[in-house]
Order: sequence, then C-alpha cells, then structure tokens
Amino acid sequence: MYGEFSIKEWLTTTNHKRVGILYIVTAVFFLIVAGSFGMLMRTQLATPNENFLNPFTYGQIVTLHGLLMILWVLTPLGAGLANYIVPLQIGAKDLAFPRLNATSYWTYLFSGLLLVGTVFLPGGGANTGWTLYAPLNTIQFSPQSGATLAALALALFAVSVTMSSINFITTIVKHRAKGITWTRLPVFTWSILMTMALALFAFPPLASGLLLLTTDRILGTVFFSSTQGGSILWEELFWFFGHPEVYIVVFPALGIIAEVFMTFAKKQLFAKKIFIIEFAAVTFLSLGVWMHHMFTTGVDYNTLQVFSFTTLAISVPFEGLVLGLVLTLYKGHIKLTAPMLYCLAAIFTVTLGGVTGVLQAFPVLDYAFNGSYWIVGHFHYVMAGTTLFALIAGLYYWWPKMTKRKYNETFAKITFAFSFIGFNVLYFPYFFLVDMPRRISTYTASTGWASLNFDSTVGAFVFGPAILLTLLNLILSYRKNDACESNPWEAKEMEWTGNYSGLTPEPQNVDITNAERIVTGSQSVPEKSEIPNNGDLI
Amino acid sequence: MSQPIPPSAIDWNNLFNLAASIAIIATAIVMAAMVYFVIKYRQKKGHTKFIQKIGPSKSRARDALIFAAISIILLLSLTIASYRLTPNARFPPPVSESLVVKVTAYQWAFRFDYPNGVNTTGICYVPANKSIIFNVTSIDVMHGFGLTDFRVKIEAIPGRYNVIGITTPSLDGNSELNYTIRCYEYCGVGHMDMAASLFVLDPTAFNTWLNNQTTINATAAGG
Amino acid sequence: MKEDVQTEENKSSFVPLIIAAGVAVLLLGLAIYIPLIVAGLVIITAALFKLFKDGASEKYAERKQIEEEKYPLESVSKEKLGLWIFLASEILIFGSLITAYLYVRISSGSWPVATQTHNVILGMTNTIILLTSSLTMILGLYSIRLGNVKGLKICLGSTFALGLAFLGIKLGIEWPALISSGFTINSGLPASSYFVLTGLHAVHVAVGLVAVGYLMFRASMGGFTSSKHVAVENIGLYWHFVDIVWMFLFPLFYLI
Repeated sequence: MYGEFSIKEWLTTTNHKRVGILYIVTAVFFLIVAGSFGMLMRTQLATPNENFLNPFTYGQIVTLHGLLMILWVLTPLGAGLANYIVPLQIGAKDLAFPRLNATSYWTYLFSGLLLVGTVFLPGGGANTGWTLYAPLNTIQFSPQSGATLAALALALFAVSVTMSSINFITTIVKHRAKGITWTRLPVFTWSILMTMALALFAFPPLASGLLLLTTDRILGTVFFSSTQGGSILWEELFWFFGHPEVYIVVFPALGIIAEVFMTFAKKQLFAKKIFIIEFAAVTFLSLGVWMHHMFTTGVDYNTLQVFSFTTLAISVPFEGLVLGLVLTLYKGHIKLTAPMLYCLAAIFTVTLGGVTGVLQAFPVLDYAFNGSYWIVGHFHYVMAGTTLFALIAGLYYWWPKMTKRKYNETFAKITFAFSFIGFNVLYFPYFFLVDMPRRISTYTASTGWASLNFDSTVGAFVFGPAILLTLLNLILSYRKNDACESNPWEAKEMEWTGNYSGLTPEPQNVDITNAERIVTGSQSVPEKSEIPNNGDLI
Repeated sequence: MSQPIPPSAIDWNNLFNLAASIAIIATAIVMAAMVYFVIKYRQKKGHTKFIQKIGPSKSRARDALIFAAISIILLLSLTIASYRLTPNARFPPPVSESLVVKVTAYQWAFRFDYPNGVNTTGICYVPANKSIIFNVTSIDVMHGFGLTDFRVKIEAIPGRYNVIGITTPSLDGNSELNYTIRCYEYCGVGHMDMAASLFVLDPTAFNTWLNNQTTINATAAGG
Repeated sequence: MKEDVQTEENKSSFVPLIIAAGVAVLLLGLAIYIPLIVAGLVIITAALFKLFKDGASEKYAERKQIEEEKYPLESVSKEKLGLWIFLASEILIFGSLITAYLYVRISSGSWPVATQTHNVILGMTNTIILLTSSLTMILGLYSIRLGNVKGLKICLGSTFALGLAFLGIKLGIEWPALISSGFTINSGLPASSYFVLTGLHAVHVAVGLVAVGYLMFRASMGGFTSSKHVAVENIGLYWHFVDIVWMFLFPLFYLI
C-alpha cells in the first residue's frame, strides 16, 4: 500500500494521514535508538564496578535516552495518531493548515537527527541528564559544541510542537462537521485538544530558557553562569515547561484508553461530561505544580508548601479520570483483545505510578526520593508504562483503519504478557533503591544495590525484546496481502464510518452527513424524535 | 552492633508507612474493581449490542462529588500529618544549640569546614546527640547533599547557602557511627564516586579531635 | 493511488521540507561552523520565495466550503484564529523572558541606572516610530477594505520604511554607541538582558518587515480586493503585537 507512493510524494505530502504515518514511523525509529540506550544502561548497571561504558559515554547516553524518549518518541507517537485520527473523528477533510503540519513533521525529524548527531561531534554531546541543569550546561562546564547543538535541537523541537498546537487547536475549533458540537466531541479528540493547549503554554518557557542558554554559550551572556540567575533561574524556566510536558505526554494515552475501553466494553464512556471537566481541571492545574521538582533547591519553604498543595490537588481530578475509565467497564460486554489488555495494563501502571507521585508531593518525603531511583521508578511507570502501553494499544486499535490489515492477535497477546511482566520486573525494584542516586554509571558492591539492579536488568532483557516483537507483529501484518474488513472491532466512533481511508488523499471518507447520529451513539438511524435533547452521553 | 536509626528517619518512616499504606489500599481497590469488572462482564459468545446509558446523570455528579470529598479529606489529613510528624530539616534548632558545619561541594567531593577553622574532605566528624546544621554550597556546578540514613537532602548551588539540619542519635553502645553522604544531583563524570562519610563520635572524643586538628586539609582516611 | 496531478485535494508542496532543512542547517552552523549559517539562510530564503509565490498565486487557497460547526468562533477565520494562537505562544515567550529579566534584576540588588545607560531620546523616538507604523498598518487595512489598492500600497510602504527606520536607529546608532562605551553583551547581566530581549524583539521586527514586503509584493500583483485581504489583516495583527511588546520593553529597559 505504502509502496504505491513515490519518494517525492512522501517528501511533499501535506495530507494528514500520511503525515501521521511519517510521525509514527519516525517516532518508532527514535524509540529503537533510545531503547537501545536504555538496554546499554541496564547492561552496565547489572553488576557492580562495570565500566564498559566510560562515565562520559554513559552520561551522554542517559541524557539522550531521556530527551529522546520523552520528546521524540512518546509525544510524536501521540501526535502521529492524532494527525491520522482527529480529522476523521471530527469529519474534517484535513488539518486547518496542511503545509504547516508538514513543516511540523520535518522540523521534528531534523531536530531529532541533529540531537542524535551531537554524539558524533568532537567532544561529544550533552552530558547533563535530560534536565540540562545550570551551571553544568554552561560553556564552562560543558565546553563541547555538541551541548550547544543539543540545546538548539531541543529549541527546534519546541518550534515544531508550537506549530502543531496552532494547527490542531484551530482545526478542532473551526473544522468540526455539522452535528459534532462540543459536548459530542469524541474523547480522543478532547484529549488531543487539551494536550495541544497545554503544549502551547508549556513550550515557550522552554524555548526562552534555551535561547538564554544559547546566548550564554555562544555570545557570552551570563544568565546561567551568574549566581543571580544560575541554577534556580534555569530550574524555574525548565520545570514550568517540564511539568506540563509530562501531562502532554500522558494525555493522548488517556484518550486512547477511553476509546479502546468504549469499543471493547461496548459502552459509552462513564460520565463523559464529568470526565471532560476533570480533564480540563488537570490541564489547568498542571501549570501550577512545577515547583514540586524543586523541593530540595532550598527555595523558601512556604512557597514550596503551596506547590505541595497544588500537586495534591491535581491528584484528585486525575484519579477521577482513572476511575471514570475503570467504571466504563462496569456492566459492559468486555472483549480482551490485545489493545484492551494494553489499556488495562496502562490503568495499573498509572495507578501505581500516580500514587507514588502523591507520596512525592510531600516535601519532607521528597527529601528522601529526590535524585534517587524512586523517582526513576515513578516516571517510568507513568511514561514507559501507561503512555507506551496506551500508544501501543492505539497502534493496534487503529491499525486496521490505517493499513486495512489485521495484526496477529495471538502473537500480540503473547508479546503483551512478556511486555507486562518484563516491565514490572524492570521497574518495580527501583522503588526499593531510594538511596541509589540517579544517573550514576556504576556503583560499588558494598552499597548492596547489586542484586536489585541485576533483577532489574533481567526485566529489561524481557521488556526490550518484547517491544521489538510487538513492532515486528505490526510490520509483518502490513505486508500480508489479504485485507481485513474496514471496522473489525464494530467500533462506534466517527473514524470507523465510511470506507477504509488508508493513505488516500480523499478528504472525506467518514460519514459526515450522518455525523450527528454517529456521535450521539445511536446504533441505527433513529427517527427524529429518538434523538436525545442535547445529545448528552451521560 | 547495628547502628541506631536517627530520629528524623524514624519520623520519616512513620509518615511514609502511613502514606504508602493509603496508597497501596487505594491501588488495591482500583485494581480489584478493574479485575472484577473484566471477569464478571466478560463478553458472552454471540453478538452483543452497544450499551447506551447506565443510570441517570444526577447520580453521576453526586458520585463524583463524594469521591472528590473523600480524596480531599485523605490528602488533607496526610498533609497535616506531614506537618506534625516530621520535624522539618529545613527549620533546625537555633545556631546557639547546634554545631554549624559549612559544606562545600565541588566536582567531585565534599569539604567540611568547622567553626574553629578546621576543615576535612570526604569525611565529617560530628558529636552524638547534637543538632548539626549544615550550610551547604557549591563552588562549581549544582550538587546534591544527601544523607539517606537521616532522610534529608538539600542541593548545593553555587552562589547560595542552603541550610539543612539533623540531630545525631546517641551512640547506643557503638564506639562510633558511620553514615553515608552522597551527591544526588548529576554533576558530571565523577558523580557516581561523589560521596563522603559522616562519623558520629562520642562528644568527648569529638572535642578531642576538633581541638587537636592543627593542620588544615585533613583528608579522608578511606571514607 | 498516484497523484502527481494537482487536484483540489492534493496540496503537496516542497516548501515544508526545504524550510525545515534550512533551519536545521542554520542551527547546525550556529553550533559548529559559522558559514553554515549563511547556507541555512539561503535555503530558508529560497523556500520563502516559493512560499510567497504560492501565496500570490493562491495555489493553496480554500475553495470548497462545507457546512461546519462553528460555535463559538463563527466570525473568526481560521487564519486569524491560528494567528491569535501563535500570538499566545509569543506572549509566553516574551513573558517568560521578561520574567527572567526581572528575576535576575531583583536578585542582583544593584543595577545600572537606566536613564544613564541608555539614550532615552532615541528609545522614545523608536517608540513613536513603531506606534506610527502600527497606525499606517491600520490605515492600509482600512484602505483595502474600501477597495483602495493604491492607498494600501502607500500605507504598506510607509510601514516598511518606519520599521526599517526602527531597526536602523537601534542597530546603527544605539547599539554601536552602547558597545563602544563598554556595555557589551558579555559584560554582565544588565547588558545580557538588554541585548537578548531587545535583540529578540528586533528579530521579530525584521520578520515582520519580510511579511510586510510579501504583502507589498502581493498588492502590486493585484492580489487584494475589498473582499479578499485576509493576509493584510493577519499580518497587521502580528505587527501590532510586535509593537505592544516594545511598549513593555521600552519602560522596562529605558525608564526604570
């Protein structure tokens, strides 16, 4: 199917479906690169006093693993699915600004290539961890040009995301088909709208910080090398971006879980209006919690206490979202397909990851957690667990729509089992390594960390290959000659109506003339009197 | 003999156990519900219809409010507990009752300066049963100053003094106590080796040591 | 399905790829090899030429209108909405930079007196120039709304000239004077903040000039009528935003 298009068509496309595929393929490429880095780190840490990666190499790998995974893998996988699915869900023929969309993609790709390229420069790449703290990031302590290029690549990525957010917000506001009012907007589209709105507010401060860092490194300004600016200034700018960023990462996952649960429990989302309100509350609150990353910086304690309150506050609507998803299963007709299994696993990891986050919201508890492997465990549970599992579920779920093929269901379930078991063996030990600092390249035997680290590495060697096999399953399916039907799940959302859309440029393949009936959840075409008052779904 | 757990760690452990118990129970409830739903509402063979609604919307809003109220009460209680249970290391006893040690972190070690001008690197001697105030700073990049055994941690930031306090436990029959200080903020290629030892001595022994230090730069003897 | 034929639905274009490549080359040059910056700028300029040509030929303009849900922004065109959202992100960029400036200034305790460091007269002149350029921009919009293409061209030209004057005074008179008096970008926090913030603003003015130039180009080809002038309004909005940012920077650096 894809081979029918020439290289030129792929290089010049502005069609949302093809740009979506480009995003997904590129994100998978970066997943393999960053995942390999993860495997290297786990291999080195399996036993004490390992040095096959010298500390400088290890430091660059840690930095790239974090940056690539959060920004170049998880966010774009969500964006790729959004590119493909959101216009179909709202009955739009494409995004509002198709050429801008393509520009978003190409800047994303080039920014990632620049970032990965930094390790090949003389002096190597950035060696600061993904958080790029000052003054370690200044020219005095990181003299290599690779660190400058890394900052610039990150800034280019921020530009790419800002373009995407302008595009998606405009599309969702202006290009919904007749009948798709705000309350009837599908949940996945809602989650993307929230993601993009948050991205609009989160990325500029990062871009500003990177601008100041770049002028420091190239022109000799002193924002981060002075003590008046320095560490605290960087942390404020970075975390004002950094915290909303992790919600940007997880929001599409929540949207996907909602869609998958609805289809495979054959039920509408539980209390959709309340779900959306809670979603909006989390979005809004996430802009006011950032200093919980700064509990150990010595900033005025009363200020930090305020952020402790807001962090605890955000856990309330967030847990409400999770409960809403679980209650969607109540009295449903549940079918345990592979996407469903991944979403159930994602609920488990977000609950566990989430409660560990609530523990971290208390500054006095955070004194022990900060900078240790507990934190690493927390964020891998919500990112490598919930987000990655949900994105894989999304890929499985929408695969027939995107490729008209069906992956092998049994194989998918087997790789799911290995992924889930491997994931937990890999990351659960981290919660018992509260005294082990992050980002260390090795440790001595006397610390007593060796056995847990070894166990964790065993998990890595199950989890990593399982993810690769998952991807293989998808790739192999696409090569099969026999196509599957256009709606094998009997799903009810807009994107499944009409003909198979694949990668054709035809804009309206979904049934927009019947949009109103479809999004109000009617199974058959009802008489006018059967349509509920305002189409509410609760 | 095993080392006594410092009082700040005991308080921390209590708060942690309380919070973690609530967290585990909450997780268990959500997971149990999920697993129960998945098993009980498994799709029977044959074609099934899409279900439209479950119950009226008013009860939904009421349930959401009840849930929110329970969560808020739980979280508020924990917050109050966090205020009460753990004396905050950032608000130590007054300087007049404490030993003040200046800590200078640098790539890649910790240097300790005592009030009488003595300094050591990589090893910090303190008396037992005393409030110790650490004045932490850095002279190059950001480091972390972490004493996991005491459950305290503060960052060492260039141009800034951060204050953190601990209370050393009593020796409890040991001749001395040995705790580990580590750097918890990535600071470059020496980060994994950046550590120091905190030796808690009998107060008399400590005073003897302090007054006998006539040479500066007494370095760590294998710490 | 092959579509090398330009159809209604086929909006493919090389410009996204080329612009992205140009920016990447420029950034690579900034980090490792200065001449690459020039190469990057050349590539970006080439792509912009193509973009402007496409804009003038209206190759990618919307033709079909389908009935859509419009609440609550019925009267706002998608281009205008997109621009406002872009301006929101710009407000955050300048906002966070201004916050950083205020943070370091307050942390510093002592700070050089603004009126002694900077030439307030020149700053005031530039402020008036920029305000006037916003006025000419609005007059241009009103002209084309009434169908007066010649008026539009005069107003756009005036805006362009005033913007150029702004940059000329700043980069040609003010900055050299500051630099020769020792107030260089690496001389400390006051200079760092001043040059980065006003410099970023100047870059925005320059980009605005390119956009106004594009409008002049399209106007001269007869591309604007009393009913079709979305680009004039939207680029005007951007220009006013750049003006408003200066309204904040001027007092923050020249007066206090």
